[in-house]
Amino acid sequence: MRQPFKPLLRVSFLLSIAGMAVLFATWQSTMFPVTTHLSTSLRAHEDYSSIRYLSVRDYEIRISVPPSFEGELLIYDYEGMKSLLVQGVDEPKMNIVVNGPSIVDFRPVRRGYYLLLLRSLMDDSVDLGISFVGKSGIEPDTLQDAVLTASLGLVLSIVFAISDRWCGKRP
Amino acid sequence: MKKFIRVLMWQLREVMRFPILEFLTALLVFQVFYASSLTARSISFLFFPEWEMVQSLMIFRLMREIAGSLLTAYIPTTFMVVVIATMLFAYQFETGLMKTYLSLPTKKSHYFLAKVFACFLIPFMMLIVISFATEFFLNTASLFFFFVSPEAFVGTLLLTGEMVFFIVSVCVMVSLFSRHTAVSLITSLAILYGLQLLGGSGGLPVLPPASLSQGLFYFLFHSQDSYWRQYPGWEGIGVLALTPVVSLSLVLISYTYYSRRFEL
Repeated sequence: MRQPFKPLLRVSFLLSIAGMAVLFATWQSTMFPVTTHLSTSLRAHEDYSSIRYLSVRDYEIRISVPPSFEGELLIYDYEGMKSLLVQGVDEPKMNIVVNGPSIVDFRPVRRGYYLLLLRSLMDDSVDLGISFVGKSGIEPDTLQDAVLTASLGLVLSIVFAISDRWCGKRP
Repeated sequence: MKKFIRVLMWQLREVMRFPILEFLTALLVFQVFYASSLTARSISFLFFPEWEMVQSLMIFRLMREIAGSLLTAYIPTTFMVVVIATMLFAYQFETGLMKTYLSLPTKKSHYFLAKVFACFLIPFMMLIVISFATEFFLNTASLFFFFVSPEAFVGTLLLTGEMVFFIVSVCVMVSLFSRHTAVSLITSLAILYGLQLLGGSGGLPVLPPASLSQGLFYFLFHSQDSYWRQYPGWEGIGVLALTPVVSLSLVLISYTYYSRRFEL
């Protein structure tokens, strides 16, 4: 009996399993908050930039600086970062004035790399501490992509299973 | 060569009859994705670097985390390789299938190499595909990442290859010498799990998989200076070289035994 669609059927089925595994893994991993902290010192009018991989969840950016600190926090997405570094076009997603120690709330639109730029407007050097607290919560974009992958695999499996049966019946 | 490929395809078909790929996909995708999505990734600068440098670093860092999470899939990979090796060696011997296969006009060495290749190829290809798919899933901007960061690509291949090759060498040897399905399954699992325990909590970084997660991974994906500071001189060479040397020796011993001394 001819079964030309059998390999494709198996690949589609594997795709749906992979989608379901990602769905379950995402659901499990979003139960935990993610925290990172780093300290450095900023000289007068210096920029501190940090490129971070962020998933779609609520983040708290805690900036520890002296009370007299004046500066600004700029957040760029991947495209904004590329425009800034390649063409010099400054189009941040978020621009916040920082006066003294602050807590900034941020929620990315899409998972990926983001550039966080802290610009000091001070004439003296300051000690800087930045903490990123990613709160626990469901990541809607990853879940959506996982469901899409699983559904695509399932639909293709059904299509190939029917095609395989149909081809197998032909003399 | 043609004959060898035919035997290899035959062995692969033999393994693929069982739902091994489905189990492996579910276990590995979950393990790799779960471990890599929990990791915080950041690159800090006190200056504005070039875009090419930033892009290469972003992809390298993400790939580094994924390569690290591949090593957490040591136990699921072990389970699968143990099953495949036992099916291709001990089970076939026990049921008499090996006798039938060896009566066909193909060299014994071709059979052995095809079986070892089949044991290696399935988990290796799956781990590689899953790691690159995870990389693309997490950062869709990095579709052609290997052009931007070839060292991350080569590092991932090396790390995965060494891990799978070690597991395969142990499983094949145990399966071949035991000639008994249950003994092969239990002994291989006990040895590989025991090595993980000894290397991790026993503080013996020369033993795999600790030699991979604390040795080769740091050597390939972190600064090599810090690696040599942590493991100076012969200790560093031992951590890097012992696993591939032992794996190769085990495969050579198994090959010699199968092609020269194996009696049915």
